[in-house]
Amino acid sequence: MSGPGSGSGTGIIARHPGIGIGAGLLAAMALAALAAPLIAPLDPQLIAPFDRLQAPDGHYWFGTDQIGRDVFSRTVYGARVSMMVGCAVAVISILLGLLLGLVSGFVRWIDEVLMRVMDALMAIPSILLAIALIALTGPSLRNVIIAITIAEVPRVTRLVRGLVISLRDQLFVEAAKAAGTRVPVILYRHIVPNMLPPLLVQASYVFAAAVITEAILSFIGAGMPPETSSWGNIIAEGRTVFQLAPHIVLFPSMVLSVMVLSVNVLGDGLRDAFDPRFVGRE
Amino acid sequence: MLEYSLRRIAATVPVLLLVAIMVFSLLYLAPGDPAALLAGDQASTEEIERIRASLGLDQSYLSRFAQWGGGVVRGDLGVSVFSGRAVTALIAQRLEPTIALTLMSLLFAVLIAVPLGIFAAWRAGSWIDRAAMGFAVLGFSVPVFVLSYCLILLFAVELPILPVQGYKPIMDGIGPFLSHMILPSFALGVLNAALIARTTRAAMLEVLRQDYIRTAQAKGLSVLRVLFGHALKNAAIPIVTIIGISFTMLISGVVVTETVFNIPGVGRLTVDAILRRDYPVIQGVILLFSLAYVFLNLAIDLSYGLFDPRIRL
Repeated sequence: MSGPGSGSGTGIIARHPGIGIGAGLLAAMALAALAAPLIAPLDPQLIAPFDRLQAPDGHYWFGTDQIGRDVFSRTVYGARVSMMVGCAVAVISILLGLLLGLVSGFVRWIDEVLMRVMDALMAIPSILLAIALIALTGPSLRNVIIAITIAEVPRVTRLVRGLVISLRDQLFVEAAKAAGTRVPVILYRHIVPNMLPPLLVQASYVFAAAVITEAILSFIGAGMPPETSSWGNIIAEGRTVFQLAPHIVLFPSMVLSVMVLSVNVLGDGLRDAFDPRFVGRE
Repeated sequence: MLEYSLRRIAATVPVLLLVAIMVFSLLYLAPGDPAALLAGDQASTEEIERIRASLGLDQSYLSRFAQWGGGVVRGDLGVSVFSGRAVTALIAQRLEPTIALTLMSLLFAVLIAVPLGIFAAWRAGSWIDRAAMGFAVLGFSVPVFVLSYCLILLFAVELPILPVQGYKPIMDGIGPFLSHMILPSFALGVLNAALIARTTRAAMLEVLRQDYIRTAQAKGLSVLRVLFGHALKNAAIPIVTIIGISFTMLISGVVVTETVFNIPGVGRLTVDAILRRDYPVIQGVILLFSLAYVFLNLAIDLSYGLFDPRIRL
């Protein structure tokens, strides 16, 4: 059985090439998102009425949309939205889920209540919940992040709770308890560090789910404000002219798929490297 | 088994109640006055008051919830603000395409994924196994609307053998019905196929390691008898569980697929209602989908007894 610490960093990457490939692609996309103003040849909002629905060529790499905006520049800027949503949702859901899961795993009466609430939240289809929340509160980056986080937190909470319960009865935790160590110290020193590998894997799956959900929300018209260059928005606008100019839909779709794929490959690589049995997509 | 079933059924009650409270409370999340918002800019004060009263916003939260909850129990989900029709009637009218789409996607997913997973486990480590699992990762990563557009471009635009979008009821003939359903149900089924294939492979790998499999092979049973007769039966519980989970995942996917393919189902009804802020419809449909989720999970849990006699005790 391989576990963390059973090899050097380069050894792990050599045995699980997915980690290197996924992390590399993701880093490249993060860089592109950060450097969007340098990479994008044109202003993503620049309207060129005479260059409407241009097919991809040397000037417009990904062609133009129905009001003549450069699809390549919009796609590059769209990476910013996806990266922000993915990172924010992953970090917030893991932290919230960690907190709720720890409480749930250690305080029995809260556990009963909290788990029923999580069951109920999971029963509401996440996409519908997110669309409803955004339709009610208004489209904005902040609301998109909040809505997707609400949908993702129950899964993380369950994972953390399961880990706490299995770790709680481990010998080293019993020993710490017997030695009179206080609960917060046990949590900090023994429980949480052992949960980091599976949480890291889960974070990658949450990131992937958040990126897809943001795209779906924007695509349906309940995501980012319509003027924002997000991949879902570009695809939604392109769908009316899909048969005439499929490039508007296809290029951002491809980039979106590659981003999600690299996160998933990274997550699967990490999972195989750590072998945390609890982590799953559900 | 009876005690287990009863306990499992009883456990759904608090969840159902919480779901109802959450769905109902969505209405109160909206900033500002929902009645004024619904009425629009030109509305008179009387009109706003009429909408307020029809939504019950002039009453307290509790009395409104009691009224709505009482209606739900009797099968009355209220009246659409937008069309003035009963929410249950609106849903009933849209049910057929959604059920057809969900069932056909699941059929596609199971037909592709279970044999693929079994084969991948049987030949674990081979290139077929690698290809199958590569396909699974890809299936997780390509969002359903992206796949939908690729399929439309290939099979409806470039190679026009299937319709681009729309829906034909099954009553209008099985041919047009199927030709309209193939692309959307395949697109929707791929994500679930990926999930089911992975789980099937993992469950089969576990079982294929067992001694009784070696015995079965040593007896000279054919590969098919070993794989399907012995191994699959013992790997059934995780596979059935994941098929159930994927069925509940379809509910979210339906919303997107119906939008891409312009299918007049419950998913489309939901999106339209949300975009128009038609609260009674939003509450009704989300409640319906959540109930479907809860009862499906209940059915999955109760079905374990069918596959493993030890659980029946």
